[in-house]
Amino acid sequence: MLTLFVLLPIIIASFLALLTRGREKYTGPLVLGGSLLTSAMVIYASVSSYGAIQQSKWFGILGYNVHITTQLLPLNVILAVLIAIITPLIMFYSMGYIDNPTERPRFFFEMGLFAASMLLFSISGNFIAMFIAWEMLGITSYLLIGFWYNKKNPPFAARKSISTIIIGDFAMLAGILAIWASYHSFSFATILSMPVEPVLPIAMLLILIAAFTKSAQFPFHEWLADAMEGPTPVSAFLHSSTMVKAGVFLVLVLFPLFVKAGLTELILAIGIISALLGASNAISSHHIKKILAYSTIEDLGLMFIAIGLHAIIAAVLFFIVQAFYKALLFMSAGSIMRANSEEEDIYKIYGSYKRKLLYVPMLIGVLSIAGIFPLSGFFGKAAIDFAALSNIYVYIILAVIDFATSAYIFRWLFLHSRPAPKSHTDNYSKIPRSMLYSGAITSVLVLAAAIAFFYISGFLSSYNYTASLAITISEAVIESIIVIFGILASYYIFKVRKPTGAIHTNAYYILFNSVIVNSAYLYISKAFVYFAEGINLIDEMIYGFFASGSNGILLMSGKLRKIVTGDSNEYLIAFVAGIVLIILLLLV
Amino acid sequence: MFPILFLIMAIAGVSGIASALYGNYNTAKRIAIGSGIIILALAIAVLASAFYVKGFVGSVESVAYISQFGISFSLTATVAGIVLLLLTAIVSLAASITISRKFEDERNIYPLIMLFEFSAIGLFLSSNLFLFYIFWDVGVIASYFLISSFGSGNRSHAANTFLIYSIFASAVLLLGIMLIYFYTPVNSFSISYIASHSSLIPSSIQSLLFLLFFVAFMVKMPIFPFHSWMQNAYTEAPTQGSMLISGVLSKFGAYGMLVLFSMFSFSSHFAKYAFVLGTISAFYAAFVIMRQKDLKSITAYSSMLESGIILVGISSLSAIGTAGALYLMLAHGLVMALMFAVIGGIEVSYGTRNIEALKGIIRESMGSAYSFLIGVFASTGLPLTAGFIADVLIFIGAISTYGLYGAIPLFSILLLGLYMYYVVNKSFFAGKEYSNSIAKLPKGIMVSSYMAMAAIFIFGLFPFIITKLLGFTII
Amino acid sequence: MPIITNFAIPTLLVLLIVSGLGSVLYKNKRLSFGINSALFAIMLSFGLYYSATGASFNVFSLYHIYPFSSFAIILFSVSMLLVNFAAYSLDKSYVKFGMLLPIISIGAFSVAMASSLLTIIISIEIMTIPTILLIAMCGKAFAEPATKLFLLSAISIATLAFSIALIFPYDSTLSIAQASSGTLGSQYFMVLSLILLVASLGTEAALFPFDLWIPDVYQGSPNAISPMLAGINKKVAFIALIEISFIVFAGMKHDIVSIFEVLAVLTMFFGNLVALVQKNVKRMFAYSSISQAGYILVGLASVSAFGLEASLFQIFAHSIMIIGAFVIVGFLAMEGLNTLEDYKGLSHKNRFSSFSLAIIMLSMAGIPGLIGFVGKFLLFSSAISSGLIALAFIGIINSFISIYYYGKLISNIYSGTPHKAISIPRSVFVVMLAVVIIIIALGIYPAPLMAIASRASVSLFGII
Repeated sequence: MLTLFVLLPIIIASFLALLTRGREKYTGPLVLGGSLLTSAMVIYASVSSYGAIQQSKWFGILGYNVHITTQLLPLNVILAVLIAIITPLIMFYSMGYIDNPTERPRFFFEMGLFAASMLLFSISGNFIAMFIAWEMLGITSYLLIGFWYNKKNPPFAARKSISTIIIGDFAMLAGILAIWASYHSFSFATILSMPVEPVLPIAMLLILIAAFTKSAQFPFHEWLADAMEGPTPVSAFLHSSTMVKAGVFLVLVLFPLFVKAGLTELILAIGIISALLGASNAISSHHIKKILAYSTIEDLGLMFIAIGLHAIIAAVLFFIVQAFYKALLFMSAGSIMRANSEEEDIYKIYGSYKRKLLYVPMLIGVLSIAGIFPLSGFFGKAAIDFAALSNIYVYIILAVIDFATSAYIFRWLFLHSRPAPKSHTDNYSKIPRSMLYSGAITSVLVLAAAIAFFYISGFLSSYNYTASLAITISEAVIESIIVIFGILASYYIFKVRKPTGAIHTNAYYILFNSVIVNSAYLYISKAFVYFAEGINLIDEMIYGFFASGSNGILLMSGKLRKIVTGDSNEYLIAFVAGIVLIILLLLV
Repeated sequence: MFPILFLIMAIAGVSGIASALYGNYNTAKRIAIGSGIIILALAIAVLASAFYVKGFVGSVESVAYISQFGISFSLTATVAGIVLLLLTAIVSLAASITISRKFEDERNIYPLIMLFEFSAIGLFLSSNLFLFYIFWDVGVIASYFLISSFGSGNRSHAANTFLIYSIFASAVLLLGIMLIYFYTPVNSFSISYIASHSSLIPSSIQSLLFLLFFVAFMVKMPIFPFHSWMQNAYTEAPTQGSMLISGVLSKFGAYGMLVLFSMFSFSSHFAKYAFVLGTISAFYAAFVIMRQKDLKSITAYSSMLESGIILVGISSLSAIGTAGALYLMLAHGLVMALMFAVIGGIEVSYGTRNIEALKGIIRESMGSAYSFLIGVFASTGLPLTAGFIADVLIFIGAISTYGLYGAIPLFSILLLGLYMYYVVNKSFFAGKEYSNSIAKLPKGIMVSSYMAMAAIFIFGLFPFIITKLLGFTII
Repeated sequence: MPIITNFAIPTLLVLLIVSGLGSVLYKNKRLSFGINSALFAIMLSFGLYYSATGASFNVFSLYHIYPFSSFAIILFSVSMLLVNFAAYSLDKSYVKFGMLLPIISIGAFSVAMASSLLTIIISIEIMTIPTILLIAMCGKAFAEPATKLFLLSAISIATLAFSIALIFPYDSTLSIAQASSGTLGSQYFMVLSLILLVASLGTEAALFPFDLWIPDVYQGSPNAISPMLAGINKKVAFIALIEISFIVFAGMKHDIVSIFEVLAVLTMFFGNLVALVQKNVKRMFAYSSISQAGYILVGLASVSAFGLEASLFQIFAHSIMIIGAFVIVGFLAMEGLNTLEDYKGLSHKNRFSSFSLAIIMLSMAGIPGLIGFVGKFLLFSSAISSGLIALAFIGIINSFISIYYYGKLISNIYSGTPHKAISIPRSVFVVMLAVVIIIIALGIYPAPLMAIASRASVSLFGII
């Protein structure tokens, strides 16, 4: 079977979704059905065509053929199956979440295409297929983040995300084309097998920039927090298996090239900075979803740290487990907000414990992200920590991050599970079933993901750049202690002291540094605008220069006209003058 | 072989005269749209013949014309000619459809559109420089009257500026053409003959000759610093005028560049200057756009930016880069038709084009907002739109020739994209509800923008329609 | 055959005189119009016949007919036909035209066929005096243009006579063909003679700076006469200038080139630049006709068969165009439309006259597909092939400056709101139709006229 065909059901379902206007109750099931069919085909293809690289010719030009290549190598299978599992869950969640029927066709259309482009990305085997998927991801996420254009913030959040992302898009296009100009191929397999060309470092740097923009790494990370303005299923999708994972995945797939280009130190450094920024913002933010968003930035930073440390298997493991718990937490956050009339400020949200079907799965997710043994999150983090043992500085930083993670996630939990004051009304009983059920199913997956730790090494054994994956007992103990300290700290501050509102100390401003980053963005864009102002002045000068030329002609014309006075005597003078003129001319 | 090219020219000419002479508004409209559809069908037939009829590409249809100078009225179906013929047919048809009696009660606009189409087809298919020049000038005059007779507000100033620049371009072009025939030993107007004998041109006059042609085409594309006519012309022209001028007339210059670089073997000496100029032009336009508030002038400068990119592709001197430039001419022409049609519709509905005044268009007119957005996607070279294929080919060519410097112009498109999304956000998505507006775009504008969109996606999804032809020499 | 050819031309000229006298005696408007038209048509057919056969013979040692003069006969008879038609309805009493037009035409035809310098002087007199008379006869209002024309013509003729007198001593003959043998360059009197010749004929042919009177007279003249002044009188001067300077002064090619080059540049710039700011349409066309004289000089400046061919082509083209333009403008002036502002919305008043005027102006501006473009293309090409690249470039620039003012007028015509319709007299319509057909037909397929012009120019250089 041509692997590309797995995309068909969901794409067709998405376009059909547009036609369901007027019969909106079928929209959700239709797209859900499409995504289930796609998932089934993905799993079938992963088994039947495992390891296959398929080329389909798109067009040929001047003797070169441009292909859409797909490959189902281990890494591709991991991401594709991940998407295949999570997409139906999110679609199921959305069926309950999008309660305005008129919005449904558009929403499911965009979601379906979003999922399809991510799937194409996961199975792409050359730069062309990958770039198409990459760009479509950007565009569909732009549309989804700005889905509620009637609200004040979403359009701006969407613009911020697309503005950041297209920087990466163009960097990537430049990198890809530079590679083609040297290698005359777009195929990953071909390029990986060829000797290094001098263009490689710069080209890979450009591609790395693209990966950083998609994966929300410093300095391109702020869009991800703003992207929380989109509908919650989008956030859940965006942060778990799609979009932000694209950058990490790209680096994983092309890891040998990054090593050849000597960029791993840069990846490590950016990963550390981003993880620290993400963690500190997550500690200080007040927005129920933004806390999770900054947490994602931190998670992605951790993945890049692992990659920077050449701990590929640890990175892949974390890549998998993070997808499940982040999806779960976002689904829970969406449900909580729904129960609190879409309130976003976490200090105004109460009583998440009231619905057990919501609370218990969420608790599993929280424990997992904090890194409690034996949940999946523990294995993911411990593996990365273990890889960092060789570098004590990195290890200390990771310890700090682990502490912060458990602290902020329990802060998150403690704050929204406070008992509600009397003035507050909530309706946890009215959360749509599909939202709760999908969360519960995901929590089972979070639990099950721990198994990945035991099989991942074997699964990736064919992959060339594998470091061994192991966790020592002592290291596990140390990590657990750090995590417990984090929980205790959070417990002390938010359960014992019971703050009722925001704390604004100096530390808060340092920790909540997204303000600084955003104003840096503003200054950069202002610098561009001022430069543009200058260019505009030049433009007006050029216009004026040419305009004054033509005005000059008109002026001259006005002067010349005065020669003709209507007086015959002067005509006679001119006659004589003309003769003199010609005589002079011939004399010269 | 059946003289299909003559047939196309004849249909364009005869229907133009017919729509000028006979009947009232409705008859003129029917003639224009009917002949537009026929020409489009014939253009597709030409494309099909290029695929399936052996020896069609490069074949010449010729009638003796002015024998004293060996000038014949001869048309050639070159690859570039076929592609641009297709573009002209689509854009002209789209332009004729946008006219609605409610807003432009002027039947005289149809003959002008037909005249323009006639000249554009003639120019792209002409196989000698004499005909090239004739159609070049006719196209300029048709555009001039489109602006000066049907434009808005400040049209006479805009038309005059346009005319002054065009005059200058025509003058240097004519001088260049005459120099080749009457001054150099080449002594011919035929493009293919000049191309094969360009080594005969004495080296003393090479620079001058190149400069004359280059400047003429620069003005038309437009390329910095000869672009000042553009903003006024594009903004003051009627919707149809903007569509035709940016979609097709600017391709006169781009096509000319293509001819120039393939005609003179010595033009390779000047390629790197052209590359630098194209790059400067693209970035310049990108920065000028950032301070524009009028949707039309934003689009106008984006057209200038793309022209810079086209020049980059041509100046790469590689087959792929040149093919990409040709592809971008097609893609960009379609995008411009789409953008200007939508903007025309918005202007009709809301009475303004200022992005400060326009807010939240999507709430009333989802169609126009998404059409505009697709225009933005296409102009930033999103995959699956025609612009992507063009950008890929152009920059492969540029990087192969100029190394990583060749990738620099790509980032001007990034700047364009950044501002375009700002505009989309400001005027289409964000903001308060707008009152006193017609919720829907005029029907004609909707139809023509769907047409342009369809073409954009067709050429983006199935690029082999065009790329298959590129095995032949382009000019 | 020889008998017919020998007697045909004198007979026709005599018939023209008879027709002129007859129209005074009978005062039958329609009859004399018919007879005049028929005579011009016969003259045209003779011209075409001579040109086609390449006839070359002398008539009573007074006239010499060869392809160049055949070309001139064709030119003048076509122009005369058009002027005759226009005059029929543009002037209330056709009788004075019926009388004087044949006389004027005799003068023009005689210049075309002249074999001696004396014939040229006399013929120009024959043509000029009735023209002045004609203007003066139209009423007191036209005394000023008549006076100005008289004054300048007098000076011009006197200078021409002096110029010819200067060269007479060198070869003791007045025959054009023989005079050439005795002329050699670098003698001061010869150079002076050439200068005076250019000055005198340049006055009539509208060369800067001898042309300052042109706008006044063209604008001030009666509507029916302006077409003739620009279309015939001016072209007669050109034909005479070409014949004398190219044949008699053949040995002074260098001087001719430098004089014509400079005068061409000055004339073109003067005509075009001043036309830019004109408000009155008739005056604008007067200036445009000055600039056209400049273009014609560009071809003459290259002093080659090709250049002369180009100039002849342009002389013909401009004659047709300017007659058409002045006829329409004159007709509209009678309806009260004078300034550029008045022309707003003309297309709503009369579609056909708007269309013709637009076509004429586009042709004058040198838009491809029309006769004016072919003329200019030939002119500038000839300049380049003679190495005068700068001159060609200036010419091209100038020809495009003119688009600016023509375009302004055309925009005015095709703008504005609907107005009451104007109807056009039938004979004016005929002139417009004929002019438009000639402009488009010869613009798209110029080969026949190019062939005639080419034969004419080759034959003229053959005489030397």
